[in-house]
Amino acid sequence: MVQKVIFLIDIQTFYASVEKANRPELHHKPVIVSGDPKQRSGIILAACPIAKSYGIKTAERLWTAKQKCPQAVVVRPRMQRYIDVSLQITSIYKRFTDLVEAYSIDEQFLDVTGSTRLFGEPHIIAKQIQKTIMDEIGVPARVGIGPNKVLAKMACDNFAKKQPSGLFKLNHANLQTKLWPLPIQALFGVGSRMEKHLRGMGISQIGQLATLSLEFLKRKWGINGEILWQTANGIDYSPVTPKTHDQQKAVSHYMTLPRDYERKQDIKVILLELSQEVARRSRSKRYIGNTVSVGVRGANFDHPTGFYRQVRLLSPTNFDMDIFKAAYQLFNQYWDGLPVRSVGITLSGLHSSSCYQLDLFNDSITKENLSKAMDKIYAKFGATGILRASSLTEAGQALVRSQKIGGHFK
Amino acid sequence: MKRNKLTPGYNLRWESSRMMLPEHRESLLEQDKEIEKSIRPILDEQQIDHFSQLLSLSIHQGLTLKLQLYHPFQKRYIIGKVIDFKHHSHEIKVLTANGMKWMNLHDIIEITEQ
Repeated sequence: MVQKVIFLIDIQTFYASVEKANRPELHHKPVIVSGDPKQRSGIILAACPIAKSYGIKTAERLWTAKQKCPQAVVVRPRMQRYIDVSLQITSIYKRFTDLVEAYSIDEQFLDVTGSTRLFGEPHIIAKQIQKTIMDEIGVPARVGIGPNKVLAKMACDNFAKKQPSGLFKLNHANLQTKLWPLPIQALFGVGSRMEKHLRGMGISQIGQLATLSLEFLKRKWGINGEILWQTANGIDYSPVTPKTHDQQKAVSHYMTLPRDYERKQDIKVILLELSQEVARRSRSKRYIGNTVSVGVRGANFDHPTGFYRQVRLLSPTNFDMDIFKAAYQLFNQYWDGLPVRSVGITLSGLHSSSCYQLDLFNDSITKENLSKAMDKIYAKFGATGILRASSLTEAGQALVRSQKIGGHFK
Repeated sequence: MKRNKLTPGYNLRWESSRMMLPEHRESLLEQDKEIEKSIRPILDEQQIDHFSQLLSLSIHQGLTLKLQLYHPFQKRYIIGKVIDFKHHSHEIKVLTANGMKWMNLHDIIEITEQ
């Protein structure tokens, strides 16, 4: 069988690099991209390599970063711009292969197995891609090369990022000498909690985990245990799947509140706004769903509280009040009364809204007409074309939220 | 069997771990769709002559035609006989198995004998 050639390409400090590419005068300066310090989002989203050399880390608060490097240039994030650049990069990848799968805004998988005849050896393709991205976008790309996705990913995260060339190839020939000596948290899929577990068991290196008995790991963690074992042994049978984003399983909306909400009536406003947004998006994609979930996170980081619960509806819906009623009921049932930091609502169990079972006791025609009228207003005047009065109260977030992507201004 | 993160040939382990902004995902789908979009072809004079010949054969002698209509994302065909036309508005009336239809000549990009 032909061995596959998979790339995981990531852009170095993506947001910061995009800003630097846009403003050449910042080229040799420490640049950090940070949300508004007056808001919750006031954390470091990206710090360029110069800023990082002062010890600035992603996700730290802006004021601590400024203490480390007072001369750093602080730039506000422009989320829409980063999405646009990410798409431009996708189309550059597509010149080399049609098998491109976006994994995050700055990481994408490429299967170039079939491209080697056209463009040459894997490392030549990788270099050419790096050069094209530098020439056309002006940002540095790092390429992890492997015979499958998980090795490509770890080649990039653990090695390519540290090479001046930004290239690294990890395969079964150098797995034991390169990957196995690394600390256990360098293994893809090992988070801080799993790291503690493993270290508690006396496993501190990837090689130790790789040589454990599979049966033991399966007994201990089931499927996830087997995944870890496969990852440590460089096994992954997942294909690069360009159509992976086509199928939608759920429509969800999540929001971190600008301040902690304590009163039920305020949180209720947010639940209604989220329901409305989920319903609107489900309808615009012609989906109808039968399961509503609510997630709530408490305000105190040191004592995490909150819940994530779902309920199956009697009949599928994409109307805001149906979703809201289910969500509010869940909230009443599971909320512990402590201040809330973030709330999310998900509609899942989706299928096409072109045909569905009518509910005998529920007047769906009236609701459908109402939704249609609202959708027309949304289409013409945007997502805030029509609002509920409650959104205009102090608790409401709909207006601010419509100007943001991922919690930051567009 | 239910698929899980270990099922070979599926992408579940990556789908469950990825971080995609909904807005990013949507624009990506939009861009993919754009690639599949077809542009309206510009017809050659001789081809237009050929089309009008077939159309007049249909209207005078009852020839059944297969007309391909322009659509950016689909292949749309109509099969039937031309029974009337309006010169000023460039429209033809076609009798199909599902009844009569008026259509604009500019939307027709291919005509073949059925």
